[in-house]
Amino acid sequence: MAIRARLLACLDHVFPAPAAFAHCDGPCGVYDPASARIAAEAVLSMTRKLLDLDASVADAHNTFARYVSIKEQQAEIVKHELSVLWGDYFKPEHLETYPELHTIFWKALKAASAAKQQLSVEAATELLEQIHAIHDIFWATKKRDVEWMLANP
Amino acid sequence: MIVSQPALGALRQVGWWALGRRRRFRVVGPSMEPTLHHGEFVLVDPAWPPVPGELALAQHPTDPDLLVVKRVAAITPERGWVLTSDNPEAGTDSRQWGPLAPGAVVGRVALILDRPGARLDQPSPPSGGQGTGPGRHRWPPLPALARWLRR
Repeated sequence: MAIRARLLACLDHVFPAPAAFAHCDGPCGVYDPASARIAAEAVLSMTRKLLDLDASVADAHNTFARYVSIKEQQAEIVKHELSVLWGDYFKPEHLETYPELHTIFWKALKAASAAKQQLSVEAATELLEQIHAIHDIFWATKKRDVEWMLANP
Repeated sequence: MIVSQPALGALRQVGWWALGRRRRFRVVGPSMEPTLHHGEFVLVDPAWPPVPGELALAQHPTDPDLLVVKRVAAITPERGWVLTSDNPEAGTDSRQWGPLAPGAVVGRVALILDRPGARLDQPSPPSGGQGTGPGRHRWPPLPALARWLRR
């Protein structure tokens, strides 16, 4: 078995076989920066709610824990969604047209981490701004004019 | 020396491959588990279309450059190929796309090179297909010799 697998791998190294896709991520082609945007909006909203929280209320600890937990989860979702867009959707030819793409994604991921670690409206706002930039490039690559809309303007 | 039936079938497919009559593809993704594993190599027969229950290599409906491997659930004369995933949670198929155009299927998966003895047909027959008996929709009808040759 091992010999056969090695032979097939060698053969593929010399004559690479084309891919027959058996998954969703590539072939279904459904990508949209909206999922990152929605999660980023939740991070911003939780940050604001946490800063406004009245500590004298009896259930403040419970509410605080819930807000923090949601902010953590949503920030993780943003990072995942951005990574999928960056790694799976965008191709080298997009980078030729938009050389700033890598910097934007890098800044967005940095802002997502900062918004997760800290209680920072600035970081959460910066995250949304970078996702806005990604939104513009993304829909430009699709040659579609899609308006940037916030659920919570 | 006694050679088993699956081994003979595999040798025949490799022979056709050596003659340039089969094409080799690499499986990417888990949607055909447990039949096909990610990273395995398969031989595809471009000359004969699959029948319901067999595995098809087909062009993706929105991106013809992408080839997908799926199981044929049914072939309906008016609507085309109904394709399914063996692992439906990990794939998109005719559930999302609807049936594929008659010209979308480019071949039949004939052999898994990594596991030549493995069965390609499903343990349980696919349901929902119209007239899913093997060979029912094949055209032209195969003489017994041709059937034996490509087994």
